[in-house]
Amino acid sequence: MENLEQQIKSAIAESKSTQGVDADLLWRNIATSLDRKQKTRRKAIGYWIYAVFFMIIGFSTYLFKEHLYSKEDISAKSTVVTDLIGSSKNTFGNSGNELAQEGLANDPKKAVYLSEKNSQSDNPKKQSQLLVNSTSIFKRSQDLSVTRDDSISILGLAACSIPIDFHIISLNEKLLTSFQFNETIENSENNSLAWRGYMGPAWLDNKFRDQTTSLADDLNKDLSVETGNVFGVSTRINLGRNWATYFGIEYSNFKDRFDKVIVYDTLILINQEEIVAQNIRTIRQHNNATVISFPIVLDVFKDVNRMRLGLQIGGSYSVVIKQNGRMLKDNATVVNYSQNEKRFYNFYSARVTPYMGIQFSKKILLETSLQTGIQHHRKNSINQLESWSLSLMPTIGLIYNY
Amino acid sequence: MCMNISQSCLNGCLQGDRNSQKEFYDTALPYFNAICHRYLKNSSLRQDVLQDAFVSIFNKIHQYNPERGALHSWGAKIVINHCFKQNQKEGRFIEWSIRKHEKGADPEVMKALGEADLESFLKTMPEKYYDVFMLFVVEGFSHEEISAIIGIKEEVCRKRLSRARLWLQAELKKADSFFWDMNYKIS
Repeated sequence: MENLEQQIKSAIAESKSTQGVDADLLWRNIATSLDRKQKTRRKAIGYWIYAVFFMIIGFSTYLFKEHLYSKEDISAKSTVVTDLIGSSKNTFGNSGNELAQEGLANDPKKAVYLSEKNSQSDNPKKQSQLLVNSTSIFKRSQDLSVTRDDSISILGLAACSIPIDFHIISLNEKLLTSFQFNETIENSENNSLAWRGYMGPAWLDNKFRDQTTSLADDLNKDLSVETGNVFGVSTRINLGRNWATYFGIEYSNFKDRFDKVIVYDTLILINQEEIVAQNIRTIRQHNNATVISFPIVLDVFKDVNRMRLGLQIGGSYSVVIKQNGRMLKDNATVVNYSQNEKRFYNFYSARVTPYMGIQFSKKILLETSLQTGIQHHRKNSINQLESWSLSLMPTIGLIYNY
Repeated sequence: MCMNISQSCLNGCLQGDRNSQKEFYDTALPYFNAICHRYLKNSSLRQDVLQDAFVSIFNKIHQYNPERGALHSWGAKIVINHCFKQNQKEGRFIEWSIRKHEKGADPEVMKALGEADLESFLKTMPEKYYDVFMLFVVEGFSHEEISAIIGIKEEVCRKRLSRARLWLQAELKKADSFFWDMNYKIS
């Protein structure tokens, strides 16, 4: 057996042949691919530079704005506490003066404490007034770094309207929860910039259009719906109380399946006789496309308690950075396509995205959206057919500084 | 198998020099094409697979370590990997082949067989045995390497090789009796 294997190896291993290959054409293709690879690398570097540049600009703008805002806000906070003292005075007579005398105007913890002391009054009207004051203190005290425990004791006061001792700190989940659901999203008017990151699965149904031949029908039958995923980051600029605009960058990857059975007659030789046989060729191929999109959308939203409901309408320009696969050139010819022989050219898209967000923390909003888009793909270089596609992308994401 | 790839050609390829790459291509193409012929099920895709394999070789040539073997063996492994990947992608490709209707040949006849006939005869072997048998016997890969290329366990690989050997012996016996039957009828 070993001898036989040795024979086989010596007969086959040394074999060389260029039969069935057009060496010149193959070399030209290889050289083109190598050139393209270098170009793609340069392009990818370009995209990264763009993304980093975009993030730096956004972040520095945010820091700049934040700096201005905090300077203005220091005086605003002092005013609020002073206002509180004033209102306490109105409600409880001299208690505001007491605060002022104790020099506590800039200390919200003590201000709360004293307000609570004053709440020992039996007058329900006064209690109610106090509640309003305490809530406003709480809102402001968040900005002035009151500890979480301090806040919780105030929560109890705010939610239940029961005067409690500031020094007794008990974490009552029920109270906390009820408070959280009563708290509304503070409007983001002051936060002129926000950042959004999102991801999710994606579906894209691509339909070829051609009235004159049946090729489009064949293609629509042979190509499955494209599935994939999408990741994106965007920046929001507020335009008004309930209006904003988003722009960003989005990476998506799609895959579809090309199934084709081609049947044709062929002549074969069996025992020196030519016999007509059917040649059945089954092709199953997964096609890929990678796209980078630059969306710009107009966002209109409404805050309801802790929830935000919104709708984004806009468009995007998409750059197809990678594609490969197989498809029909005509009714009986299957060809490969790539970035060189394009099935998809860069395209524009119109999109509508309803979304719903829920306050996750003071700075972060958790949101889910359903991004729907419609795209027109111009005539491809393989079979000169144009197509329309409908995309559906349910995403989940976070908005920072909403 | 000697492919005479000079050190200057290798250095040129490492630097991405197009002339050196062409020199390597011209030297390696016949060998790599023969490999594709052996392992690629859909022969119409040979050009595509070779193109991808050569591009991979040129892009990854800096990973080649001369201490671990000759350049052509390293390149052959890449070509074989591309062939198997393509076979997996391609799924079922049913091709009518005259080879399926051929009888085997006895050892004496095998000596007289040409390389193409021998390959045709071996291709009548069940596909899963054929891959393991060829990679082990012809390319000289270890079971570990074959299992990595095909994506099977080493044990399965060993079993398939022994079954391939059994199949070969059985076919040779059949061929032998067929050969004597034919001689008897003619005489």
